[in-house]
Amino acid sequence: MTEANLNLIRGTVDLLILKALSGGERHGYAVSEWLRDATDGTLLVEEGTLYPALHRLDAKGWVESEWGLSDNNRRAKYYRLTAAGRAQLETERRTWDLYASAVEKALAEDPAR
Amino acid sequence: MDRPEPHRKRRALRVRGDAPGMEHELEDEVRFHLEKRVDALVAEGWTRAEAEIEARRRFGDVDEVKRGMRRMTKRKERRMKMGSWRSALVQDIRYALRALKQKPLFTAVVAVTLALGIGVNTAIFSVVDGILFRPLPFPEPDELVVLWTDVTARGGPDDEWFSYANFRDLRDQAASLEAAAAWGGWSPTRTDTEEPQQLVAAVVTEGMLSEVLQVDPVLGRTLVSEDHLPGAPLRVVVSHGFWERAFGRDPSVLGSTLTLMDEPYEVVGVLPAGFLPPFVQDAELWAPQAPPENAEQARGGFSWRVVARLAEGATVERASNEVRELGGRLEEAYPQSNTGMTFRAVALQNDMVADTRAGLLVLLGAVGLVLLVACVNVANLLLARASGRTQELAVRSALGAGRARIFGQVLTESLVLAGLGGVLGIALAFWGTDLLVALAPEGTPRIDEIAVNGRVLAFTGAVTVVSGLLFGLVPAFRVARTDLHLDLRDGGRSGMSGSGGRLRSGLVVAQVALAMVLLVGAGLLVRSFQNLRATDLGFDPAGVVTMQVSLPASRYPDAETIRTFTEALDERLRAIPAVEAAGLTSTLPLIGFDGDVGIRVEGRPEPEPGQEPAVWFRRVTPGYLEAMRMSVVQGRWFTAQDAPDDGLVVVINETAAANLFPGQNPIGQRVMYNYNSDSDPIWRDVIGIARDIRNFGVRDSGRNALYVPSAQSAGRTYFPVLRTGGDPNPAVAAVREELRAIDPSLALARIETMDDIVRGAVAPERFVAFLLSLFATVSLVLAVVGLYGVVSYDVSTRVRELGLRMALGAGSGEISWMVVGRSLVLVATGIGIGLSMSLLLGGLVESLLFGVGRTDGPTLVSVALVLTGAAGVAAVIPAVRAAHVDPAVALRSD
Repeated sequence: MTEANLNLIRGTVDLLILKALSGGERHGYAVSEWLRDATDGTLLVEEGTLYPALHRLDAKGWVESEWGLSDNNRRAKYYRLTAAGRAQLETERRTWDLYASAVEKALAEDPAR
Repeated sequence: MDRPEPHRKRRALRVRGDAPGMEHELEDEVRFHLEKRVDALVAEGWTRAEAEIEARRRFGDVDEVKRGMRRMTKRKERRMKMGSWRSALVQDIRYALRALKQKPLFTAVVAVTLALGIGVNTAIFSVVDGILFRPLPFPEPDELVVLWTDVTARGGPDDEWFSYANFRDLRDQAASLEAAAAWGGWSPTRTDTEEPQQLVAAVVTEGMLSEVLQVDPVLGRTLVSEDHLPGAPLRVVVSHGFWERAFGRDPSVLGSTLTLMDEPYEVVGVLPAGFLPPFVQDAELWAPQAPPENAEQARGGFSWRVVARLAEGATVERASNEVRELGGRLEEAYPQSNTGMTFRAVALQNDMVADTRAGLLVLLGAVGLVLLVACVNVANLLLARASGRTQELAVRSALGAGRARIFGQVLTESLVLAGLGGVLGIALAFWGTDLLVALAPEGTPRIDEIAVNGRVLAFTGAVTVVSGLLFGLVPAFRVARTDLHLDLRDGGRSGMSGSGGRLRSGLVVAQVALAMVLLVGAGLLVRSFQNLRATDLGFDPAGVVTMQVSLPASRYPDAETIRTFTEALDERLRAIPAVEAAGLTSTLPLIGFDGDVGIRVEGRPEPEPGQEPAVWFRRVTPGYLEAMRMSVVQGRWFTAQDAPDDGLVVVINETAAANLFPGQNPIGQRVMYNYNSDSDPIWRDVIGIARDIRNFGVRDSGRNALYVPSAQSAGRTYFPVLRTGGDPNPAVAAVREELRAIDPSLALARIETMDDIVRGAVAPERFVAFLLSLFATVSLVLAVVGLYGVVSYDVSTRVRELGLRMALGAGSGEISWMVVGRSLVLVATGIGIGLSMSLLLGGLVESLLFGVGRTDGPTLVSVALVLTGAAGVAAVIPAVRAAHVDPAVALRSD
């Protein structure tokens, strides 16, 4: 994958994480599983890249985190959307829609016109 | 999918972001992910060993991920810290506002004190900023310089004007000047109006408006090259003000004509409203000047002022060096006219404000001191208050507020108070600035540009915060240092009385010292002003009214026509019934313009070029002496018999007699002036010596002067001078009538009483002396209030001791004296410190002083007495209260 593609994906990782958490709180592993299933494994190349992103969203106040016990009693850190995060998800989603439809429209146009 | 059961989740203790805790959490989070992945892979059929490798591969670079997480976690920590700081601040401000609301009197006193301090600072700064600091309203104003002729080498001034020839040579040869233009004064009479009007105008050489000042006209154009050609049609550019006044802002004014000195001038342009002409700020017309024909013969004269624009990259210093060098070359080339003459350049901005600067900076310093006194006062009030609220703060401390938190709380309160004072101060400053502009002496440069604007408000903001810190830090440190737990135990009574009292005394001493400095400064300036007013001018201005008449060359082409006019006017003036005495003079004392001529004495070798003594020259009619009540100390004054055909005569002043004829009797000797130009190359008899008068300013004395009867020397500008004794108006009306009878096209201008002229000459000194006295008074009042606060607090903390003393037999008089004595000790210490500060700072006002030294004994003694008296006043109420302490009550009070 080229650098350009990676940049594009990094920009969308926040959006996808927010989406993943919009269904309720999850730990990082669960987010990565959801992401892989939801995108048929096309987007997320390295699972580790999720974690700095989660922490960044935490720092921005869009998600909050809490340690809890997962199944089989292992300590896991759970993330959940804050109100600000929910609003941010909406904003980013709209931006993405605009962006995607614009690019799509442009690609459908005849460049010779 | 892995969904946790909510009830199995446990709230972990908040782990702080310190390094080990944070590392631990990152480690756990990553490990959990990897373990889950391994489990999943094993479930898919991988061997555990292969699954572990695969899990790491899918995860990516663990160290890289941890680095990213670490960075984000730290960012979050910072954010949280900021957030808590902010919420603490909001809480502190709310708390401060509540506390201040609970003590409205205290808050009002502090706010008013600060508003005074901040208000006077803002008002004075807006004046100083408008005049001294703000760039001039021209494009690239830093490039503008004024050139001066420097004749100090022959004992003349360093700011003499230019001859056209010298100006032209500098303009053409100086590489550091991109453009230069000369400016000549012009007072044309406008005759196409009902009443003839004399206008303030200027003639300028090519490029003055377009290349040097670079002003864009609002209508039409400025002057162009063709306008400056000899024989070009007569054209003028008018000021915005003149356009409004004379044309009612008529947009079709271009092309209309003005009749000036009987000739039609076409209006070709209107300048913008904010245009600030150098040299003559109320100029309303600019006319083009063609290169004069006889420029070379007049190289030794001084009739032009020069302003120039620096070439790209040139500095004022470089330009000044270059014109000095060129001056040396011109001196070699034209020794006849240029010996002892050179040139210099000064930044236009500095040149315009040179006379105003010293006074303004002294005022700025003075208001700074006033603010310091105000801050000390507030600090003192806050300390007193702090000692009264230690219990409240002790409670807050016991409830968990740390030292830093209480420090911040107390400081916030101070800053809120400062803000309150700042807002009130700005309101005060708007009013005060208008007042200052109204009070400012006439002719103050750039007075129209003075306003409370963004820059001024920024200054006020900074001053406010600094004041808040200044008076807030001391109490904040004290409170935070005090052992508040002790206070809670003993009811807060011991508080900060011990060292706190010493601190407050120290502050009051500082206040008295600062007030002393201001009072001494004000005292010195007031005495200087009184000295100026009391100076013997050599003439009596009371009851004298003056005015100006200018004769157009078109109708008064030669000496004969001029003389006919002056004789007719002089005769008619003296015949006006209300007039006790009247005369004409070519220039008045103290109005700032004058001309000098070179002079030589008969029978002495001709002086080297540039070495001839200069005398200030005036034409007068015989009646001038009596109208001004001047006196002749030797010989005689002019009479009607000194007619054009009789022997030519002059009267010189005492200074000229001493300088030109040391040890000789000047009467009967012969002198010649203007001898190196073509006009008047004639010997004249010295017939008398007149007493010196103050010609240039009240401070000025001892310059050579020479009087010539107007019958024997013709000029086109005259000032009628009338001694009326009483109301000048009937006399002025009569002069108007008489002038109309002689020539209805002449205008009467500059009608002023001589008293007003004298007042105007000392107006800058009065302005500074008045304001400094005002500021000194404010600081004195503040110091007395501070003193009162400390002394009465002192009494209240010593009630028991006083009671004990009274119980032991001390009389109430003795007790009162003890209290007054305490106040006196504080003031005496303050006076001592203030005295040394005054001596140290005296140099700053030295240039403004007149007839009084900076260590003037009477001033220092009277200021010390005033302050001692103030100490007594401040102590009266506390002393009376102390004397009425009831020993029985006092001793039981604890």
